Amino acid sequence: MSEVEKIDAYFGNEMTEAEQIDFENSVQNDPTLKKEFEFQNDIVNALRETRKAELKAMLNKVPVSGSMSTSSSFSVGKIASLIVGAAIMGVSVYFLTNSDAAGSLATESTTETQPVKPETLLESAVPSEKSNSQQDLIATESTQLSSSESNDATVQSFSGVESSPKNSENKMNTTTSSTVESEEQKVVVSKPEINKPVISNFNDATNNTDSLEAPGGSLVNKTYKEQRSMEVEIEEGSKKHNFHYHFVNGKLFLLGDFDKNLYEILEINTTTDKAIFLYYKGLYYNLDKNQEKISALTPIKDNSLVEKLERIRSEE
Amino acid sequence: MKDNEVFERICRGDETALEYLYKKYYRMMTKLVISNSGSEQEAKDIYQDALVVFWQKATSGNLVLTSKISTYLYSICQNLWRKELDRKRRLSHEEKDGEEYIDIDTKERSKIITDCIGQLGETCKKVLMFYYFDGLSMQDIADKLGFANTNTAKTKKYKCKKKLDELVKSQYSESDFLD
Repeated sequence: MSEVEKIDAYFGNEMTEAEQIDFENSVQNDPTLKKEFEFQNDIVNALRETRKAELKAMLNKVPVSGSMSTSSSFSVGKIASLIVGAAIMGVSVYFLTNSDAAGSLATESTTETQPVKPETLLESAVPSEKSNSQQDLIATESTQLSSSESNDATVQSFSGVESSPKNSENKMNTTTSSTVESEEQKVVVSKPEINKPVISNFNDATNNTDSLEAPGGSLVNKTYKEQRSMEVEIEEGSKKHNFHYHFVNGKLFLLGDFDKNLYEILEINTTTDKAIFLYYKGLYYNLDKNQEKISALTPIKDNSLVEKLERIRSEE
Repeated sequence: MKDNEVFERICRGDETALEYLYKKYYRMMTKLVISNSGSEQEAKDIYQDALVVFWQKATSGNLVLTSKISTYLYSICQNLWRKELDRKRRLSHEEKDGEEYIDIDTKERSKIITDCIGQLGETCKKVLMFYYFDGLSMQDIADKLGFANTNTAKTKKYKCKKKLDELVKSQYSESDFLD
């Protein structure tokens, strides 16, 4: 082997360890060889650096969102956001049923052409406010609550009119509580006495019609983005964690083969908090938002709760 | 894709498998750096460096995978980030241009060589980089670049290297590097 070939074999990693050491020794002892060696060393190093830079540039072009979502959670996230939206909507029906029952009844004739029972009317009224984030809904409700409290007195004087809304209101409450109560979370069930004053809406029912419809018109084209309040990411499960979940900084991580099937996340607003459920392969799972440790998913067995979740899920 | 499939593809120099890995563990690996007082940019840099190290070892056949790829990558990231933190600490304690001094000749020389590499044709560049950095076998190089056989790859490599050597030498003599 000529010297040049040896140098090349050395840099091309084609020498055994013994040959390498041998060669390094002879380089040290031969000034001419050393010079050539250093020259080649520079070139090879430059080639390596160029290749490194090339690989890094290639990786740099790979789209990875600097923020949270990865490609898998993005596509699923879209689906999830729709479902979350559906859940919020379903739940917000209850908000409005409780707070707006009377008002909507009064505006029934103007807003709706065909006669409907209160629940369905509200359900169809709610989607017009679709794009309002849930916070908005809560806000609206709380203002109504406060204003209604102060209007308590007025309400009394309307005893004649009051009877009908009150009836419907009671009806609402039975519907709501039966649908929604569960041992684990209380989905917004406002107290009856808070609802009462909503009749203040009754007074200016015509004005309300406008304000109720306006947002629908202008917001209807907005995207669902605002409704997506929780991020979800799928991680490939390990042997130990193949059907588990945990929350990190409010973000849900699902561990397991979730990529292979459609899963749905149901977010349900309660008075103080949010309850989160997972629907996967026909079963429901309760997700504890404060669960930071990886824990196993176990299906909800309580049939009545499952039934309620089923109803909420199928509402869209 | 399963770990061993990815690994096998990477060993053969399949860059799409590297991109796949990059995406797959991006969050996991960058989190390591970010949660250890690194910026997002630093995290990305370290992770890319780690992948390049992994790539180079795998393609040159110097790696026998005994753990999951992610575990291996994670440990490279840890090491690289530890080194970087050390380097930063030293920099903040010492004068900036004490130790880090590189003689101007070396810098100048490597710039000349890099320029010369840039003057080579795309295939030449690839053959040389695959051989000297990736350490791919002549068969893999032939496959990747569509050469008829390993002999073509060998000849190509030899000719390209000769061309590069000559280019560099001529540039050196212009800048008086050769006595």
